[in-house]
Amino acid sequence: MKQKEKQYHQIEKLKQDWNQLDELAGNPSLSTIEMKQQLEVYQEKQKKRFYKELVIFFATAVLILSCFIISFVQVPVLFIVIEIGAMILGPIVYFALVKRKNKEGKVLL
Amino acid sequence: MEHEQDWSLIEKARTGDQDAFTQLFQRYYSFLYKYLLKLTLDEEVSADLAQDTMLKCYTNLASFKGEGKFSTWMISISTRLYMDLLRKQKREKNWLNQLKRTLSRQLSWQANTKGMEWSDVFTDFNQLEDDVRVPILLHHYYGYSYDEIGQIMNIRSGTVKSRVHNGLKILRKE
Repeated sequence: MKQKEKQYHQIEKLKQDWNQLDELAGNPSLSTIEMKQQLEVYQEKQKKRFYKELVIFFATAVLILSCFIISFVQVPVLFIVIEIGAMILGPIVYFALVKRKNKEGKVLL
Repeated sequence: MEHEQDWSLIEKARTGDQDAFTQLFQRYYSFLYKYLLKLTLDEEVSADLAQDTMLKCYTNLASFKGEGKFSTWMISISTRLYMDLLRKQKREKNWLNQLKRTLSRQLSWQANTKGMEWSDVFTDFNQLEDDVRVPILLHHYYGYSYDEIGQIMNIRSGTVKSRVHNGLKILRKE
C-alpha cells in the first residue's frame, strides 16, 4: 500500500515537472513559409537522389549484362556457375532484406 | 470532428496539396515539439527532430492507414527518429552513456529566471534508459494505453507494461 502511495506521489511530481517543461516551451510554431521552404528543399534533394540512383542502377545493369553476355559467349561454364550461385544467393539476400525490414518495423497505425 | 478534419487534410495532402499538409502539421507542431522536449531536454535537438518528423510524415503520408490518430502516427515516427539519433550518438561517442542527462543551458536559465524547481524524481527519471523513459512518459503523461505504446515503439504490449513497471520500481528505490 505504502509503495503504491509512493509511486503515485512520484508520478504526480513527474507530471508537475513535465508541465513546467511545457510551460518553458511556450507555444512553439512553425510558419507556413518556413515549412514550405523546407519541403521544397527536401523535394529537390530527393529528386537529385533519385536521378543519381537511377544512373547507378542503369550503369550496374549494363555492367552485369555485359559480364553475362561475355561469360555466356566466351566461357559457358562460368555462366552456369554464376546462374547457380545467383539461384542460391538470391533467396538468402531476399530473406535477409525482409528480416531487416521487419526489424525496423512498420509505422502504419 | 477533429479526426474528420485531419482526414480531409490528409486526403488533400496526399494529392500533393502542400498547403493542406502544412496546415495539418501546424496543428500538431506544438504537441510534437513539447513531447520531444521532454525526451531530449534540449530545444535545438527537439526542433531538428520535429523537422525531420515533418519530412518523414510528408514522404510516408501514403502509408498512413488512418486506423489511429494522426498525432499518434506522428509521435510514433518521432519516437523512432529519436531512438535512431541516440543509437547514432552512442556509436559515435561511447562516453555519452556515462554523461548525466540534464536540461540544456538555455532551458536551465529560463527555468531559473522563472523560479522553477525540479524534483529529484525528475532528475532520476532522466537518467533512466530511453526504452524505459519513453513508455513511462507516453503512459503516465500522455495517457496512451500499453497497446498503443507497443504499436508506437514496435514492441509487444507486455514488454511495454514490464518496462513501465520496472522503470517506476527503479525510481522508487532511488
